[in-house]
Amino acid sequence: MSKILSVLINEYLRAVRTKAFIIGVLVTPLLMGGGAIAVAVAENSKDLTDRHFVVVDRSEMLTEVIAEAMEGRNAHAIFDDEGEQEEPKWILETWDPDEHLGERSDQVLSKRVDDGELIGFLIIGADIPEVAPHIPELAGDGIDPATDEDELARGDRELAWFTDTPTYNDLPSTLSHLVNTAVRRHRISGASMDADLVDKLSERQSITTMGLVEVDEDGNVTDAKETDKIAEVAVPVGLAVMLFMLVMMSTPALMNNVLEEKMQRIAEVLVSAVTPFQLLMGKLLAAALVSLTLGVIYVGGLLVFVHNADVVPPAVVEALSPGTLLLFGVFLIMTLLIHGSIFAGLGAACSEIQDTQTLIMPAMLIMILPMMFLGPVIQSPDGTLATVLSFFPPATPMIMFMRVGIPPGVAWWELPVALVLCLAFAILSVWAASRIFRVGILMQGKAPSWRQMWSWIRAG
Amino acid sequence: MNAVSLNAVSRSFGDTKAVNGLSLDVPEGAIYGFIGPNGSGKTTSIRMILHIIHPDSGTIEVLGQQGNRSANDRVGYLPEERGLYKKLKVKQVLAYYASLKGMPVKEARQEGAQWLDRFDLSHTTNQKIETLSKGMAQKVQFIATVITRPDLLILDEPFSGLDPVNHEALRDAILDLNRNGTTVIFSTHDMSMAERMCDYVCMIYKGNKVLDGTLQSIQQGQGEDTVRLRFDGDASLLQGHPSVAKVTDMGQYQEVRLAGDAQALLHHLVERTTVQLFEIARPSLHDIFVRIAGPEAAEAVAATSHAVSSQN
Repeated sequence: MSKILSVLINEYLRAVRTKAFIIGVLVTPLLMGGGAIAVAVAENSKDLTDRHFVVVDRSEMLTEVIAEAMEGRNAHAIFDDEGEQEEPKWILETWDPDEHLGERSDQVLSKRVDDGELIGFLIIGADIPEVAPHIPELAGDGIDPATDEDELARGDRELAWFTDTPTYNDLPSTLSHLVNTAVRRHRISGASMDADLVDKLSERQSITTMGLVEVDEDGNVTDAKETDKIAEVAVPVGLAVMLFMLVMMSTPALMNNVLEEKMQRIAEVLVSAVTPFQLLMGKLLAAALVSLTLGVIYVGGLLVFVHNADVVPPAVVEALSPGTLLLFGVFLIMTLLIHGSIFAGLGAACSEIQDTQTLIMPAMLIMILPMMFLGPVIQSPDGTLATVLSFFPPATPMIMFMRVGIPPGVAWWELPVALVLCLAFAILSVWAASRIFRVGILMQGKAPSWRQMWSWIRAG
Repeated sequence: MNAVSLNAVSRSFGDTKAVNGLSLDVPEGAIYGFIGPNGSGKTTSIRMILHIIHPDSGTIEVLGQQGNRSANDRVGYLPEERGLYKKLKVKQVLAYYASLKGMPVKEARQEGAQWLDRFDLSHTTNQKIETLSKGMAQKVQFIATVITRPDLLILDEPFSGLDPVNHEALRDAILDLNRNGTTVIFSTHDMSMAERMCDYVCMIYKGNKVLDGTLQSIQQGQGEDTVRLRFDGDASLLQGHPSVAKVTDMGQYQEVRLAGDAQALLHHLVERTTVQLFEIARPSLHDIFVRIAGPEAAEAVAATSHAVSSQN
């Protein structure tokens, strides 16, 4: 035990005394903060150049609607409360066919877009306001749907936005909304109904997500509260991502550390003084301690922030409970033992950095597996995929941690079973890695195959 | 009482038999030379003594402990291929290596300081290993090996790469430790070095022991059938003489194994040239090794020596 402690202390001090560690402590939060600042800066530095566009209105009834809407928008909607412009003006130009006799509108306007005069142009087919030909049952009542599709030139039902900047989506989606609203009202009026009344009747109601009503032992009922979806998911997901980052920072470094000792011929002296198992355990625990140190620094900083900042929702503060943080620490140690032993074993098996390139891929894949399923797990934390993954030990720490934190949580037996499974797998990983370690640490030359390493584990 | 006893120890790697039924006893307080060309099984045997690798068969006893590592804290080991943490300071390396053997940091600091002083390295205490010269780093590694005052010291090619001054300093340190009771096993392919330092010698070749005993008994066993000769002219003068069985060019002199009368050979030479040296001697370890292991072994030793000297 004292030997493991000696290795642990040396490895820990060696890791935290490096400039890389100190920079890591300072830079990672800066990068995160920097990311947030970059997003904010990007939000505030929108391009406010006027956007000119043309509408070719063959229906001859929609231009006016669009012109009115643009006028209103350019006068009011693009300014914030303090009167500062935050969106570009959209300036409508109309297309008078009489002025362009003998010209193809799309051809002429494409040229203008190409020359940079316009952001794009909208062509509204002549028959757009009419009821679609595939709804013949609406015939009569003043509506005159075309019954024969052949009578309709394809272009007459076209509503098309032409542009060389397809990523600028705000304008075409606004135009689409305006045209559709106007056309709908036109069709409703055409069916001898009151368009205003229909609008009122079809008013949409948004949904509120609530928690559950709770009844305590005395029968007192607590009303359900409105849930803050983001706040409830932010802590478990945020900490799970931090778990992943800490493991990513430590375990590949562990492989390099072992490989370095092997390449610099330090390993032989070490294994003459301590057993390969003691050496491996000391290194793994040191890596866990380094990660815990980082975790304490980051989480500590986070706690100070959430308790002092007014902008943080109460649900977030509540979710950062001592129980959650304890579970975070336990899962951090377990995930480090599991992935750390895999990487340390690989380091011991290889003789050169190049050798690790081929072996590192599967180990990396196993490590990033939970990240790949982050979306589905958040969406459906008690679904089959999330449940199965949370009992797959290499993924357990991240996935189970999220499942515990995200409502509805897990059944009472799930966390203890997952912890036991994870612990058993961690012990198995350390044991297997120590077998690879014992054979590999003094071996020079070609890197072994996975099959060879398997035979080392079995033979011992 | 033996510091180390090996009994019929064998170890194979795949189809290669690295050590084959090796038995030997290293008496307490001895300087025990473990000699043979590269690839003969020396390092494998040493690693088995340290329980870094396990024998396929046979038993190993180290400082009274059989079959386990419990004596390892009392053993200092300097492997042939050396390395230290480049980014650590000298005092940190020494403290760490000592702590692995269970020595408290404070005691390690004191002991380390004495050794650094002895090797004129006191000024390097706070220097990083990467700033040291190769010779300095080798001495620091030696200090890391002996800092815990081991009862048994195992040195694998301890002098390789050292200049004559450092070579001498290290040799004195080893002899001092031995005088104070430390048993020393040192492995080398350099037979003349073994001859100068060792009380006992074990020769190993292709995993088999070919010779074992005190230096004196080994040499006596071969008789005084060797003449060291230096004379004007080349070795062709010796060719065809009935007293000469074999001639080995040792650089500074010729070593002749006699097949007949030494006086007849001397007479033959004096008549033809000026003789500067004519010494009837016991055969050298190198010569004995070649006699026992055969000419192929001689080539292996020569190849090893050549490779090492060109590295140096």
